[in-house]
Amino acid sequence: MKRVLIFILLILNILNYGCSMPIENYNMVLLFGIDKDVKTGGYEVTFQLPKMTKGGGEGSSLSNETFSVSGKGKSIELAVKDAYIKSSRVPFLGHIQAVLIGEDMGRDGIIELINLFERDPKYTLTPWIFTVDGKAKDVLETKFEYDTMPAFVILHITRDASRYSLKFYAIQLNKFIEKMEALPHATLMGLIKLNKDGNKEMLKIAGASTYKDGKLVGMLDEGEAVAYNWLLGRVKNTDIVTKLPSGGATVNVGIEQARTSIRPVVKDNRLVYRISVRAIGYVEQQSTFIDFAGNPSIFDEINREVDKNIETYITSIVKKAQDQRVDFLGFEKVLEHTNPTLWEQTKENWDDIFPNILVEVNVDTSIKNTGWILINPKIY
Amino acid sequence: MYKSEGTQMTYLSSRGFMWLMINTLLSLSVFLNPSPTTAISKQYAWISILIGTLQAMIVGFVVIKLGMMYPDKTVVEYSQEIVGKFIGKIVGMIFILTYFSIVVIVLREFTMPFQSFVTINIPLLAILILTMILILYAVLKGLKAIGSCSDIVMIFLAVFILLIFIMPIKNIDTLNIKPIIPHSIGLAVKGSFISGSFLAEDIIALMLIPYVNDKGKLMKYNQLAILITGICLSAVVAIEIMAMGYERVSSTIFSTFILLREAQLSQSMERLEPIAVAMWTGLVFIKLSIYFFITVEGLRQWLGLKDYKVIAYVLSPIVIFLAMLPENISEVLVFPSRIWTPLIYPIVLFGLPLLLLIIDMIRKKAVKQ
Amino acid sequence: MSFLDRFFKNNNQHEKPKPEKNDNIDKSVDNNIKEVKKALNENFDVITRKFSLGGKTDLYAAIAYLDGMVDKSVINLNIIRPLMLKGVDDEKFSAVGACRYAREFMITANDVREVDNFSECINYILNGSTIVFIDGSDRALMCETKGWKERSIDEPKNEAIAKGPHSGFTETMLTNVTLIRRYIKDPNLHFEPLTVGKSSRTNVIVAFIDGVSDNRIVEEVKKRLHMIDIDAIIDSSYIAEFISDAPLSPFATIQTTERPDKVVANLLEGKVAIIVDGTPVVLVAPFLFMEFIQSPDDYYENSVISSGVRVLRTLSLFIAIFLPGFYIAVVTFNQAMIPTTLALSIMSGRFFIPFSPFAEIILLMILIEILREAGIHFPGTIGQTISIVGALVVGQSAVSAGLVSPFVVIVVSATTLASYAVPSYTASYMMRFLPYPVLIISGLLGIFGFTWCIIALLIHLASLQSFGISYLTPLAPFDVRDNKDSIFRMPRWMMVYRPNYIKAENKKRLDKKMKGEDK
Repeated sequence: MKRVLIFILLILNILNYGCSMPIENYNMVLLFGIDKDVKTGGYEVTFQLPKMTKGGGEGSSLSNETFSVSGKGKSIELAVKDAYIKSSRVPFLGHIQAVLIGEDMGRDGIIELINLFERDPKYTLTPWIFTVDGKAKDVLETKFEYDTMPAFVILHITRDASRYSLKFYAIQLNKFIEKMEALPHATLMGLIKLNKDGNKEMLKIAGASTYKDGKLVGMLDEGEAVAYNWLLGRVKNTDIVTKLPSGGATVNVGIEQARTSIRPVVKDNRLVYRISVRAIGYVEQQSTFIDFAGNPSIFDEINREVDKNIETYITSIVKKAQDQRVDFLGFEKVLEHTNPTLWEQTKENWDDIFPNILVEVNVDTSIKNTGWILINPKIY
Repeated sequence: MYKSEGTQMTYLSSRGFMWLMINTLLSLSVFLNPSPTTAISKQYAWISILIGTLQAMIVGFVVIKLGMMYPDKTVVEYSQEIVGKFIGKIVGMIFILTYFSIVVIVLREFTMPFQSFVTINIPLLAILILTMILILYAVLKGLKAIGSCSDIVMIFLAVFILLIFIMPIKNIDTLNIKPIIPHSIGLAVKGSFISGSFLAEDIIALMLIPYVNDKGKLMKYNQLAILITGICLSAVVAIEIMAMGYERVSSTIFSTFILLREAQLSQSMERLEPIAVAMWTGLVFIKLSIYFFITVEGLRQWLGLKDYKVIAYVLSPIVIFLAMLPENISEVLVFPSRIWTPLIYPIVLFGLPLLLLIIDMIRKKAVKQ
Repeated sequence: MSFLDRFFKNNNQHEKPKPEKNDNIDKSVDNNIKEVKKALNENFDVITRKFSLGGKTDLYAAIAYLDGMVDKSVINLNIIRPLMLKGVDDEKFSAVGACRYAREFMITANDVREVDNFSECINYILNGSTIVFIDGSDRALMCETKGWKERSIDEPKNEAIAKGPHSGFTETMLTNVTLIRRYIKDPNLHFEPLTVGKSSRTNVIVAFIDGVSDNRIVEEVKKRLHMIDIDAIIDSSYIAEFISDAPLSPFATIQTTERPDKVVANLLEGKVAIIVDGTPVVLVAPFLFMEFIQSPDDYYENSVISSGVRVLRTLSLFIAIFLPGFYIAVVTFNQAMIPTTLALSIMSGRFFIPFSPFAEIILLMILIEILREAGIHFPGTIGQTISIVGALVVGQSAVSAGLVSPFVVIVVSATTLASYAVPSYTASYMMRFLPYPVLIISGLLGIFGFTWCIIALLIHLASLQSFGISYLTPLAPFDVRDNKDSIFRMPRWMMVYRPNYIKAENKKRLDKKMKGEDK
């Protein structure tokens, strides 16, 4: 028995008690911003943390208020550690909701940042990742008037609102890393900026930023983001507004569901990407008197117009990528995984082949539904 | 208090043997196989694991065939009958050393996920000692207790596999695993030896056959165990490739745990890798204790002692000491990639049992004539 | 304790003179009476009465009994009255002898036996029988007159169920045997009597159904019962502690119950019951782990619902043992595992708490233990009310005083509630004890410690045996047929066979497989 006791004491001795830390000694970092420190050439890291206030009577409570802490250092981890000693409690990095990358930082390259997040277990792998149009620190230090913390605003927009709008592209860190490490090492990241709406500061998540080999190479505006989402088939619920040639009425077609498939083929010794889109939609709103019941061909007309619209989107984004000579559309990956033998011939000089790829777009939209109204009343 | 003989006299049923095999085979391969296999076979890793399963089933066939020649004896005992006393002792020692090396290296490999991302800062020695206490406890309680544990740990295994299959469902991109039919079969075969070498750890059967009660079904259940493990492993790797892309799978060490770390099923079901590691601990514990048991039991037979408990007490500090030796993570991973797959797999796991089987057959024929 | 010591010592003093004594019954009634009084230490409750037999002046008889152990109306009406008032037929009397004459022609009590051994007489007196000595006879008559104030048969408080029979065992062995016998009218139902305890001489009955039970288990039980060497048995738990396989383990390896229906169901499964005189608690062996989550009402309810309830109880068992440890591991080591919003609110709840999470949870758990223990010992019915009110007040004011965080209150109360959801009373002590080691180790080592505890418990359970049966049967070794009645309860017509782990001849419950009632 005595021996057992000594043994247990020995084990307790080995476990230095410093390895555990109760949760209240930490504060959760919700937003992680990173910028280039222009003066020293190092990094500047900014954390946004929730502010704790003593509530009435029963302990403390969380308000919507946040505060930010920043630190500088030669490497990212050094900057993080610098921020550690400036904050009131130990920043906990396992609950980062979004990582904001300043534009300077992006242009300089984010490989180090991604490597840090991938290697170090104290970081989470699933924050949303954004490029900031400007400095990340500015976004994190701005006071907003939302009813919840900015981190959750970003989270809700990217996760929930993305079902209703194609105007922005957002990606989580782990998926970004996956796309970054796969060929062609170019992909898109979300884009965030500060937007002044009168006196109020607002966050604006719109468009996207393109990365090649870990460096920011360009930004896409809202229209291009929509086009990219159409190309990738990331469409859940969106609208296309079109004018009918006959009668000139404006029709808003709601898209319920769309599927895109990309198939590379060789035609006449040239690489051709056949992109086919199948979309199902319904008439959401329209401004003139159209008799859907009496004139079924009106459906075909709307379908054709929507087809044209989507086709324009897709060709424009492909053209933009080919002009930039950056394959952020992931065409090489598609080739690698659908036709590996062909890919092995092209992988050496893909950068030259990509701009010359032909694209055949084939869109097939079908309007299934007209909502609860079949014939508009005569007032239109 | 009362040492009753018991009405259940059997040590292991052959179905229990199957669970034991699945536990021992899957526990480590699910953790160490995906990355190196994917590094070689790219998106065809899941096919190469199926090929590796076929290899392992051939090894399993040879091993069980050999074991069933002497159903009441362990390899340490009958190797002396087959190739004579002296060489037989050497052969027995080779097997014992193989088992022992597995105990040491698996114990060390087991600590890696704990050290690196479940509970940072717990000293290595503490984890080793605490784990060794558990193993020693189980081994002293005997094979029957280990067998019972393995039956229960199957629940852990089911939860673990279920977590892997369900959690990453939102991350899955089927493009990553295409094409389903490999364009060059060589790529798939090249990677198959890694999983083959892990799944061919059937040599525990050489020591356990005397303790299995219904030996008639042993061959069926043994092959079934390898097949189930292979299919599970293949499915896990397929999910990993689909959810992470083969580039990421091949670059991370604990790709299975990273898969769960970044999986978000819903807002509250995320970052469940500590749970997965906890479940996985159960599997590894079964593997460690059964290997330690057969090491100790084999050594007892080799030395001709009566009680194996003394050996267990003596051996466990040695295991801890040896497990402390590798300096860093790459030295830990050298063993599976440089020694296990190219050397032990063809020589000890496959060659030696085959050789013994052939010699035994020739000898028996000669005796008949 | 001192009371018990004195009690035992007293009994030992009774015993001393007995063995050296001449064991024959004296022919003189007076001498016999004297001997009886001496043997029973002249205690006040030894009643002897000497009277003339059949009105003769030269022939005397005497009775001896212990006051309070006997039914006096039987003695008055069926023993003394016929012996005194009935005339003696001299011819017959001299022909058959005094003793036999009294037995066959006079005494109208139902169970009368001749005894030729003095120590046996004492034994019977101590057991509540009346001994009749007759002048000139070297034998005595034992009349069964047991009868004492006994509790009526009512529902056992610790094992109340909603549906099904409500009778419970009492302190009288005979009543208990009858209760069992009423359910099984099978000649194969055996009740084998034994006596355990040097001074208490407690009657113990081993009950089993021949052919259904495993002979090896029955023999093992009897062997272990014979090996018991103690002065007195007060409750069956004394015996349980002596004969169970692992008395030091927190997991009971022998079942205790006060429900006759439970005992009968177990007997029909081939188990062995041990009925101890003087206690309503009957022991059943072997006891397996899965029985912790099984309750008699599972069998009286729809099988689908009771299967669901059993799953719930399994969950409660895990919550009751592991929840505090898991909480502490997550809150002090793996904070990343908690969903972000929950982490924020735990963090904000803990912000102004003076104690570490570990101290906080230990504090509250001990407080709950005190409340629980106090609730048992509070007088009368206010106990439960007081403990509920106490829990509410303590929880509420501890939170508002900033002593503990609200989450800990939830964790601890969930643990406590879950431990009550497990029906087995045997399990409740295990579930009160085990959370503490799990908590401490998890508090030191986080999730690794938590897993370590689970595996250590697993090995412990796997190594336990109950009378030769693995404790985790039928989960491990896994048995498909036995699992029809473990975590799930299949409909009764699907459980054709009795448990597989009992090796017996008669294995079938149903003779042919019946489909559901609707067909």
